[in-house]
Amino acid sequence: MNKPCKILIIEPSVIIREGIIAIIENIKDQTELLHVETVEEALKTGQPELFKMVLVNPITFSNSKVTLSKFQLFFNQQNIIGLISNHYDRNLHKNFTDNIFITDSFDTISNILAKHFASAPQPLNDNDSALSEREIDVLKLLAIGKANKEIAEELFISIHTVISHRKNISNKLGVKSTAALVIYAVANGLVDVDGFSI
Amino acid sequence: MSLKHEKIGYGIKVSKLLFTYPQLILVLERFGIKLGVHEKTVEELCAEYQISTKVFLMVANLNIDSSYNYQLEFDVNEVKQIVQYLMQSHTYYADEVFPEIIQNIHLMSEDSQKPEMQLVERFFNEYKNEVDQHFDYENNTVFPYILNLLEASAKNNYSVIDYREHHDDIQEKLDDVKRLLIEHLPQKSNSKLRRKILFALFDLDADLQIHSKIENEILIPQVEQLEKQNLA
Repeated sequence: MNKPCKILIIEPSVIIREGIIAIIENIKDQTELLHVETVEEALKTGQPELFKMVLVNPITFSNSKVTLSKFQLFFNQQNIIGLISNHYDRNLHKNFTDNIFITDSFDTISNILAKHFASAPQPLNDNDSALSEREIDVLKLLAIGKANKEIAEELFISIHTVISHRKNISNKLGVKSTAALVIYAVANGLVDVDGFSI
Repeated sequence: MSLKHEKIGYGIKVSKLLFTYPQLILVLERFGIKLGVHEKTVEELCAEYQISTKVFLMVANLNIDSSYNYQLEFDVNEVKQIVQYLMQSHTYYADEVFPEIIQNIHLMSEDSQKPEMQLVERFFNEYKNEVDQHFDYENNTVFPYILNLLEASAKNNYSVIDYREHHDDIQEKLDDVKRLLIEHLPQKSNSKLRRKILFALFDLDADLQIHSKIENEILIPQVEQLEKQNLA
């Protein structure tokens, strides 16, 4: 079955948006294009795995509470292409699989798009959300009420490493508050419930 | 091709609007508009209830499409109406939404007999207390300040800039509860309770997002302008 190829464009400028749409339609007939102006709207589109390509202008992150890492968790990272319209730190381009610059020629843009049309759909990498052993160690100590400093001392790691583990744990589990992390730990038998006064 | 809804205008019939966007029934209620709207248009109904059409359309459009671009010019009377609308929303959360969720979470916790569910109950109760404090602060400090400012008798020792800083992100913990209930906590029985809780949480979340948007992006900039004018 030849399903239309779904593409999401997150770009506030109508000129750029219509321009990129014209190029896409020029090289591929069967496409289903959705466009939004903000990252928040993009996250409301539902079924992120259905998008073959997500073209996003990174300036949309600057007035948004959504972080790039949350965005990458939501959409399949390999499908996210940067749409670069302004002066933008070159290192940040590495966040995206590919980048289309406003100064790129028609051929360059077509080539990037064609490459993504041709690529096989990437399976979602659900395994990424499993906690590492070290992260579980940190979570266990966190759940019994230890402060970052105490966790660092107990595991012989720096406090910065503890903080970075905590961030990764939160990203993987999708919960941020300590209380919610404790609930996760209890539900998964990582801590002994007897230690709690509920 | 576009995800955008059509924007609603003042000439549209309110009944037609409600059939397409039933969530606006709640908006009408908060503006004090009673149902049985007959054939009246937005403009006619707003005139009848002495509500600014501009304010009504801003709130209604934001409710059907949160990316809606509103005009940023409201007069004193309109700012008052926005404040009143927000206060009505607080009453709705405090009197209707939270008690129901709290009760269902309590039932779910009792039903499951699991320690993690007792923790969820405690977590949500603490969250609710935070939200209450936030609403109390707005109702008792921020909104009276704004209303005073509108009467041009404001004291100079407070500013909405303080308010913006005080405006905690109450969305985050709500997300945590949803995530726990959907993804992390196994469900033994009684799917009905958890479903009810989740639906209520998602509704609350969507409503709160628009609520914060009105506060942060409309009310605060407006009041900041007023503060500048008062100082000048």
